[in-house]
Amino acid sequence: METIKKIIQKELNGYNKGISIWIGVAGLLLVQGYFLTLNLLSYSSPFSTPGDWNDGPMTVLLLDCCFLGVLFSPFITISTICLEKKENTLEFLLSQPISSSKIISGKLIASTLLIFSMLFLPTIGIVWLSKFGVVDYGHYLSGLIGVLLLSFALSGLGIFISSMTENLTTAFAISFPAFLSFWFISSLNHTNISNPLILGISELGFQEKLSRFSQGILNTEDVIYFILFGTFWFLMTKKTMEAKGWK
Amino acid sequence: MLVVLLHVENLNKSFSGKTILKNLNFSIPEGEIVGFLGPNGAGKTTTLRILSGLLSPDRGKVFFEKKEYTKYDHSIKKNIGYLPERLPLYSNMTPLEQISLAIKLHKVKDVELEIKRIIELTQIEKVKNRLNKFLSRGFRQRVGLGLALVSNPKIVFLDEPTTGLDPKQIVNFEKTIKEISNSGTSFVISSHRLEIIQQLCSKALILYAGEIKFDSKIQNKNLRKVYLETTSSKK
Repeated sequence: METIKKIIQKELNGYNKGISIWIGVAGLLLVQGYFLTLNLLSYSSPFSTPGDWNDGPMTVLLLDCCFLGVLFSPFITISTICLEKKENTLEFLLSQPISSSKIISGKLIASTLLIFSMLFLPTIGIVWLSKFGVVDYGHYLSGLIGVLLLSFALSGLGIFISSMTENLTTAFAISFPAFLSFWFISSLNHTNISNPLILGISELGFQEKLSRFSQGILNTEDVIYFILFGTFWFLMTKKTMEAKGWK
Repeated sequence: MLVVLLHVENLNKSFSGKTILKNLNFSIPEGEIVGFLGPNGAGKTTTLRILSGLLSPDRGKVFFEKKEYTKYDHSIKKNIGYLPERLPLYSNMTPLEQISLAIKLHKVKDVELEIKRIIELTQIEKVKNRLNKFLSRGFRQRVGLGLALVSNPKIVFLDEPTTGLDPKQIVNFEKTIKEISNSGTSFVISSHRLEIIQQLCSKALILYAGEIKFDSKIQNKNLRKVYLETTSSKK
């Protein structure tokens, strides 16, 4: 566990040193602030009753947060292994007395924490606005759990894609549509298509599940889905590394 | 009597169906500096990567102090240092930060003392707080060597360690290796520079077309002549 902690620290320090992460955080805050303002304006009196406030702006803001996570996460995940391979620093890590599983775990946890922190920051606005109305913190917490699980799932998939190439552009070109696909395939559920395969695929989408989290509904199946999703890609990354002969 | 530190038995490795290493058998004695020679593409780097625990062989066994480590637990890596040809330095870290990270990953008890030892050994005191990306090739090489020497490994693999170094830096490098070797550390040095191998090493291995063609002491031998004879034979 101690070595995984060191890898997490290394990863987070690496992100912290780059200016791009701060530009990303500033961008997210701006976009979320804009969305929150639009949200509040679209409700004539959002703070009149707790029901209006929590079912309206908060639900929308939490779901917006998740979508922004899907858009922004590739910028974080692409470099996790891809950049290490490009700069040959993966050889440094692999030559240390630490298994590749621990290296991937450290990267996965660091990436999850970072994505979650970036997405969590803009939601603080909701708590600040609580002075104008009653905030249902259970609802808020449910949404945050959704954001955390999404961060884990995206990190898992992103790290897997990052392990497949040395080229950052290629990693981004694959990650971005892959992340978006998992967001939008939920929409297939709302079409007239009755093909069981397509309906089955639509069940793999994030949107439906995250919209339940953002509505304050904590569904065990949804929680398990995201945990299994992230774990599956973690194992795939491990397999990819082993297939390349890395121990 | 020489004590065998590392022993390789029938090592084989292929990539995408192409055989890179064919039944390699050799031993590395304790405290010796061994030269590892061969033309480009002979399989030197692949061999070093397997011996340092980065790659798994397809077949064959590697024994470290008589203990097999083909499927080993990663703690054996504490006794092995590896410096790849492409230096594995984080551009956004300082030498101090990266050496400190390596020390912590090795779970060395007295981190500060080990940092001091590595910095003194590699003479990087004046650049220890400068970002790796701003270091000269000579200093980058020293930092890389420092990383390979963390926790005082029993054997160190150096892949083309003198690439890009000027003659003065090469002399300093040779001096450092000899000093460390005197304390009992074994080195396996892969290089194209025959004069460096002749100067530093007591033994040489010549790898040609994936096979060990020469494995012997090189004192009183003309290494250039041996190398040319070995590598000009038909594959």
